[in-house]
Amino acid sequence: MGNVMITVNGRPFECEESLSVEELLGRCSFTYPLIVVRLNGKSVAQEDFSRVMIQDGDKVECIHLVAGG
Amino acid sequence: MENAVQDMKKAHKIIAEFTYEKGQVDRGYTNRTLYVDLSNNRVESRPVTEDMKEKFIGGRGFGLWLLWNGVKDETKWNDPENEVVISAGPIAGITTYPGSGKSLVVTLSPLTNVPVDSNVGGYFGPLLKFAGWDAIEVQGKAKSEVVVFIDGKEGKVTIEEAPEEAINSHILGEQLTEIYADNEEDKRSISVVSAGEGAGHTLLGCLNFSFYDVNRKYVRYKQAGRGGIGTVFRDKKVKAIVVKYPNVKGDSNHPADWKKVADTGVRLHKEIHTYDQHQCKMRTTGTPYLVSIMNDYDLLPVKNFKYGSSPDAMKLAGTVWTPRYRLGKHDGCWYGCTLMCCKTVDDFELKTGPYKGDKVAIDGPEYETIGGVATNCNIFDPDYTLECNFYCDTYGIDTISFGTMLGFLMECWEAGVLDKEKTGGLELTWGNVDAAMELLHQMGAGYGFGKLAGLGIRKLKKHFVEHFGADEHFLNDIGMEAKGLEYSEYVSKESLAQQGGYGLTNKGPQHDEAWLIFMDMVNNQLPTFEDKAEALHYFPMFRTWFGLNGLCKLPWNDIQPGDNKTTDEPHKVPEHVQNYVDLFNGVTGRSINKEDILTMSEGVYNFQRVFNLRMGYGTRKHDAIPYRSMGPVTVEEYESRADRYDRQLKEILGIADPSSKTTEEKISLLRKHREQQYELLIDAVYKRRGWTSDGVPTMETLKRLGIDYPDVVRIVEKHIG
Repeated sequence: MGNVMITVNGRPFECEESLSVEELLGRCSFTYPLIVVRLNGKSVAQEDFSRVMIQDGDKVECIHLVAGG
Repeated sequence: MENAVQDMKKAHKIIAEFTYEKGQVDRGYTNRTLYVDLSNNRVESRPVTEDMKEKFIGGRGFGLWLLWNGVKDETKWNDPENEVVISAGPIAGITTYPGSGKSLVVTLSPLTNVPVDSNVGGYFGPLLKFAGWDAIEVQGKAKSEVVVFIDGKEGKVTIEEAPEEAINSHILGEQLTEIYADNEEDKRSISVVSAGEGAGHTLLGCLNFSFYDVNRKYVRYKQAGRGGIGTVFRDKKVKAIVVKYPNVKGDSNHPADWKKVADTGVRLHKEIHTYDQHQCKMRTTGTPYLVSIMNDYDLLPVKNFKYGSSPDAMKLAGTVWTPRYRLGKHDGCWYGCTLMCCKTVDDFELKTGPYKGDKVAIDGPEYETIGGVATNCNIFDPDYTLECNFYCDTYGIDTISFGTMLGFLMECWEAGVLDKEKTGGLELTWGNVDAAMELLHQMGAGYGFGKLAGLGIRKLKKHFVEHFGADEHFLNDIGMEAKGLEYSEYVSKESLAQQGGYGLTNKGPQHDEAWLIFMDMVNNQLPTFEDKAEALHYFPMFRTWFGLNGLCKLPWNDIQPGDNKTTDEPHKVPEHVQNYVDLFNGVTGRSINKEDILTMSEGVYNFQRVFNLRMGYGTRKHDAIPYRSMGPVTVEEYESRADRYDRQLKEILGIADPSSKTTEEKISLLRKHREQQYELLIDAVYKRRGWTSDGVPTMETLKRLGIDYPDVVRIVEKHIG
């Protein structure tokens, strides 16, 4: 099975296999608690992060809801 | 203690007394300010005009306006006419909306020579207002140590010689609370503003604002940290400013529409109760929750901002602090704050310094303190962090400037700029907690190498070049200061927008104007210069507004409504923006909308920019930043993130084979690109803000904002011809 190419926040991202949303967040070290994930433009509920799988060619947005330190 | 305190009180000599009608707050304002001239022992009441309220709102705006009228073009920080102005703002003092008790302090900074504003919790600002004053303006210099006492119960202001009290805050606050409170219950009516010995011996002085914790039965402190305000305070020989006002009530601010104000608060309290435990955990962890997150995103300063993470960072993560806190019923720095971020560690036994062996309570540590005094110096020791936090506070030394300055010194040691001979024996190696504490004690008492270190990074660079033969370019690259102020604790290398968020500020690199790293670096929401410029317009203006009104920033976006993610602009937290509109209208009776928030701030922000021009600064060259905040300075720094930087050379600069180049060559190529990007960013931001290419507000901008006063126009005309 070949590598999976996706985009994360508009940037190319390559992984060896399909990842769940939860696995992707872990791989990117996206640990901030206020993150909205959109898969191909559709929101993914937080409770589905471990179930929803990301496929080759998918566009993932991991929007960190913060604008202030 | 009681007898000793009574003896101290007896030693007070009243040298000026001023009585006033107590009056009543009306729609968030008392409509007068208190002027204190220490040189001539003069106290007077001054009116607040409608124009002041319209253009400057309150808080930071009032501070800047009063300071502008108090100083001359050539005034220096330690001239008698420099002032310390404290003002809360119209919303401050309500008890129904979290984070509504902030004071804003303004002065000419000894670090930057331009106005600095610093926000702080504690009870002083609201109590000052309820005592009858929208602001206090302290000018002149006392001949001997004085306390200024504002008695809102009796309607009296006194300047009192106070020879016997301590100067360091953790003792002085307790002494003065005891002296001026009628009894135990009355202690909550007292708030003390003080500095400390270190504030007088360094240029990094902060102010401590007290509040009495009725559950724990001791005095606690919040700090107006940035820019050396405590240094000005001590230069005036002020030991403390004390306000007393009993009987704070929910409607003491006398809002125009009480129900609107109360209803707005109820919604936020519910959000906090429901979501905080799943979001930022402010109620249990406070701001240290950020340590592990910043580490994960390579944003936590390590070794003088060389790196953004460390494998040891978890030793200082939020999970380490929560068990050490004594969580109380009320951990807010003003009544009614259910976000309750201010934490305290009790019964901490000090291991060093003049109070060695004492058991003390320590407010904090905040994220910025941990990032500064600890990780930035490659220290990962919680006990040291607490000890350093305590002594910085009681000495009246800003933990951010201290930490950033100490990281700079440690890198200077590593680079061979410093050695034991030059430091008087201090081994300022990375991670050396003993040397760090010894340096702090020297700064507190004003001797040895600590006396030199207390000048701050900008003056240290000059000294090291002139006296130690150091390489000026290297020090300018690694010295994390801009405009003379030390950086706050976020690594901005990979976010051009945040480089602007630090560099394009009025007072210097403090993140309270804009924190754009996630939007820019992580979310990739600001791809163009115009996008970045828009963010560097919107957020600094929006956040300035908190300081005009006496509000804390945290309840804006460190707690978010459950449906915020479904809104069009979740990063702005639209529901909370509407809350602020409702609060302002509910308190003042005015009728503003969310766009007005930006315009109100713009007026004050541009006025402050012109104030910088007036003092001889405020143009493009003063918005320069050190290269360390833009990219890797040293070979080891580049090579620690070589994959990242090599990829950027390929993808952005089109260098097909970076491996064919030396690291020095790659650093140079990357630097040229990043410095060009910063200049292009400046162009875009100035244009968006209505400034010339030299960073001067245009006449059209002044007129649009209604701040085209003759004195303001005079300053601007000098720059635009």
